[in-house]
Amino acid sequence: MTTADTAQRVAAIGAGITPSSPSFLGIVRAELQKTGWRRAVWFSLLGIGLLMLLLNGITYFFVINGLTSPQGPGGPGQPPAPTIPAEAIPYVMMTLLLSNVREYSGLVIALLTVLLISVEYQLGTIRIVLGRGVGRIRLLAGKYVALLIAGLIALLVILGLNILELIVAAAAQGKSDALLGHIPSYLWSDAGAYLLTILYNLVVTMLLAAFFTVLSRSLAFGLVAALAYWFAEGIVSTILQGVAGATQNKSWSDVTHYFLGTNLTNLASTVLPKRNLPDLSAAFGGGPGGAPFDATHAIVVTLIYSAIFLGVSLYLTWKRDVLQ
Amino acid sequence: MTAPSAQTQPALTRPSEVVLRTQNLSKSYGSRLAVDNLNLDVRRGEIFGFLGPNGAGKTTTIRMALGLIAPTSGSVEVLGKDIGQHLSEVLPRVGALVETPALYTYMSGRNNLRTMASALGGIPDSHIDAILDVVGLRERQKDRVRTYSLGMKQRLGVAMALLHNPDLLILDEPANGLDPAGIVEIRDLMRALAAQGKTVFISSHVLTEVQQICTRVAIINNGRLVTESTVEALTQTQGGFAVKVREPAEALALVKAQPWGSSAQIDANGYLLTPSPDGEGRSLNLFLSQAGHAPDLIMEQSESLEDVFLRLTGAAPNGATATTTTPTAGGAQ
Repeated sequence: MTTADTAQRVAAIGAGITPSSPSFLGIVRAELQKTGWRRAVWFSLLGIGLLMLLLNGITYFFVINGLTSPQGPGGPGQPPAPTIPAEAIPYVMMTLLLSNVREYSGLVIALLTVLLISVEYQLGTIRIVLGRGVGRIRLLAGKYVALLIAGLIALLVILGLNILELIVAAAAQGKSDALLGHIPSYLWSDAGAYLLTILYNLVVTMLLAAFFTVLSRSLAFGLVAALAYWFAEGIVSTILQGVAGATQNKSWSDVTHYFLGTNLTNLASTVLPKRNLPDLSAAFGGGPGGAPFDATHAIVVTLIYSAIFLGVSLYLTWKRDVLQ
Repeated sequence: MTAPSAQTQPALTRPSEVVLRTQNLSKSYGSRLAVDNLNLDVRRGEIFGFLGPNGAGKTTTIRMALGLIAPTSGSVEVLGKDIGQHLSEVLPRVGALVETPALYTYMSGRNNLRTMASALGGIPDSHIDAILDVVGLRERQKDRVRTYSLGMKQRLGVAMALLHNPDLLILDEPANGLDPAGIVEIRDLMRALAAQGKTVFISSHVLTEVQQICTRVAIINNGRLVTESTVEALTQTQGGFAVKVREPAEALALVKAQPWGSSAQIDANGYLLTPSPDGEGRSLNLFLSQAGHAPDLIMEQSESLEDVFLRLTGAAPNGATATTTTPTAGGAQ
């Protein structure tokens, strides 16, 4: 290319483009592109999806079998099953299904959050993005919104896959009627309320994952911390329950009522109305009942955690030097 | 020929407008002072070279100019506004390539530009095509950046900086990794941008390149400004000439006998290095010719920017003289 060519082309590229402040919608769109155009994201989601389909498929198969078997959910040699009303089967399956959806959608949003926030620091692109006048807080807010959109889509896909899998698991055993033949009218409103708690869970999990990633600016640390946090809480909970049992002092176990994981796990139980159904939650997971606190407690505690995660993330994003 | 419009040639209308100014700018990390009381003025339409050895504080200064790190004291004004107060107004008019090109390596070159275009808004696909043409990446636009060579990444980094038609371009080592043809292209590009009234601020270690394209340079060392001047003023030595004569020893004796010629000497190539009676090449020519030593060649002595840089930063290698006197430019003959 000659000097004259270059001059001509440079003159051409300057025409018609006026530098302007980035729009928030544009930032969100760019963040969605950064997520969607990344193969690692799709491979991770595929892996999680396959794992989910395998584990949940097995679970649904055996739980439907247990619920409809005269031997009861415990299987052969176990105490006989309580008398299970026909409408309890779809209800239990609904709560079990949504409990699984909550866990997997939480895992997906945590993964997406860590990937989307850490990528700018890992690749150094944060200096390009901020250097174009995309404000720090606006960038983080744009990432939050993009993640919520992606999380919502993931939630719908996970929900659809689980419903399909449940129906297939029932049909494979010829028990579709037990699953779909006696659906109580209140199941839909309860499922709707449960779904709202899953959405809330999604937001809190995203804020937690964003907090660890903003803090560390590292993919590895952010991912490990966002996942290990729940395990750590679980281990500490178990220890505290043990101490409470050993010392006969309930205040030890009461401490766990202020743990994030405890509150999020029990949120659905506190929100759903008590139905006149046998409590099968211990046998099948999920289901209403059993929460040691009420919905207000769960919401206030999780809101406090969320405010801390959000506040610290915003402050660090706003104030820290970008040296990447 | 029609007169250039004010829109396309702002350099001609407001040549002295300062587009980047640092005032008493300092940044410290703990007890280490990375930038120390730095004062710079970069004017519209200039190609300004920002030089310094590794760790001198160049990148820290650039990061402060882009609002990536906060100054410990002092301020940065970009396009007439304080960067700390008007970040979102000013930075959309700045394009930057800081250190190594930071790119989404998992995306194609084109998608990198599309992502940035989405965030910035108002940039059509045809503009992306034009930018890819300018930086010579049209052929490889669909390949993932992970497969690019350093030079190609550098070109894409420049494309990202140019994407939104900025008024001020800040380029940190833009020639890094480029082959000779690429270096020439980037040089032409910068000249073309400056001709359009855009300001180009380059931090570089390739001093020969800087000397060829920059109008002014600043040299910093240990975070402090050592000098800020035009390239011409920095590289020109005061009234010195290199003269090729047939009998240099006799000519030297003659010159040394003059009141203005006591510093004359003969260099390793047999050139007579001497001042002129009045600082002009023609009077030296006349003097020598009248004395019977008609010069075959007279060249105005100048230092290369590299020599100046090494001298001013105290980084000259052992044994090298800080004031190299290699004749490089033609003078009176």
